[in-house]
Amino acid sequence: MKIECSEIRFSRDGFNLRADAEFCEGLHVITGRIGSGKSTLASILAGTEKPDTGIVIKEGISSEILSMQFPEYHLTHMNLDPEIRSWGVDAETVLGIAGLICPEEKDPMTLSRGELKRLHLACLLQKKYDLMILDEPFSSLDCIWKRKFKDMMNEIDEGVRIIFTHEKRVLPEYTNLWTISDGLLLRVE
Amino acid sequence: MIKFDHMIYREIQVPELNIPEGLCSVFGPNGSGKSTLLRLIAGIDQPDEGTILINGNSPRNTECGYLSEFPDRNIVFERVADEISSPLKFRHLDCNETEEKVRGIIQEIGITGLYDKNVTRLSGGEKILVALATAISIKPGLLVIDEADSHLDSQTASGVFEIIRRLEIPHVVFCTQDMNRVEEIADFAVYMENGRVAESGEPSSVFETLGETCFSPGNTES
Repeated sequence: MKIECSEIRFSRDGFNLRADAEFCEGLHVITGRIGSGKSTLASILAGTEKPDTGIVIKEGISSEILSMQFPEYHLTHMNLDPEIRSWGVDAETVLGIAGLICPEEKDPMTLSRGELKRLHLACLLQKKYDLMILDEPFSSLDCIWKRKFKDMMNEIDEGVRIIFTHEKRVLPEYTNLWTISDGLLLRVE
Repeated sequence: MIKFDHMIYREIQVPELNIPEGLCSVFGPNGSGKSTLLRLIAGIDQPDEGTILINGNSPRNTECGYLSEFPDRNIVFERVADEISSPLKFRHLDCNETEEKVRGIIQEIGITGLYDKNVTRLSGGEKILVALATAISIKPGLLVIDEADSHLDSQTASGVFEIIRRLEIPHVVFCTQDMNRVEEIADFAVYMENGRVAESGEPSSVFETLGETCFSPGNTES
């Protein structure tokens, strides 16, 4: 099981991204400053953005998820219960994992941003994916939930997991550490 | 001084709180009421009971710059230059003066490369920098920033707060999940839990009370 970027090149408005990399089974952390191309690469790997040249090759991957930086982009319903059920998971279980004590008819957009991120991650982690691409999953989480999410990620031992993040203090155990600098993806460890 | 007097709004209760001029950090667990408190200070929401006064004026009579925790909620116009110049244009400032001010601001924030770009195509962090540039374009007496640093890398966030400090805005109230930042730059700290101000004062004294919890600097990683 792996995902490979073969001679990926992407240009827009003067920004250039280059990526040649292979992500094997395990957890990969990709860091980089704002505007370095993390979200663009995440979109290219997920297939929601097309590179100008090069291809993304996926082997042995039959299920995948792109978790976007902004949890509000994932919402498809106006109430918690149908929103959670739209993931095909149990609402009570998810609310428990996310630590949310609120009526199931509550509008998810009335949650705080951190709570909304917890809800999204709790839905996501209820399912198994061969490929998980997580764009800034720690963003907006408080220190308690950063630790919890780190522990939950450490419990997953199957599939290819790629985390794009600027978080440095709380990270799960990773297989490889990567960085994007001046639009170039490089393996650091 | 920002003065709360027997303020109640939905689940938020602040019987008394006095925030002095300078950089004030509001921090605490997700869902503790930080964003609501910031919206009240900015005058976006109004108390059900009691008052909030900023140097004796209501928040809605205070010139305020506000950055939402949802970056897309800050954006009105598509082009970066139009977005940043909008508060000045709404005040009917001369076109040449507006242009000059916008050029100066984007240079100061370090986003000259974004001038003509479409805001919708920016990264989350870049959207925050554009929103900040827009908010400070009017030189507000109060700047309210809701967890902007969660979208920024550490180096960029530090640079942003250096700029904010340089601007000498009388009141800056910012929410963050980075306790090291609170310790480094805040003049005053407010720790919230369950819709209440659990602790407030100088950051060192607030952190001393919070002890070994992860809401103290240095304990985040463990």
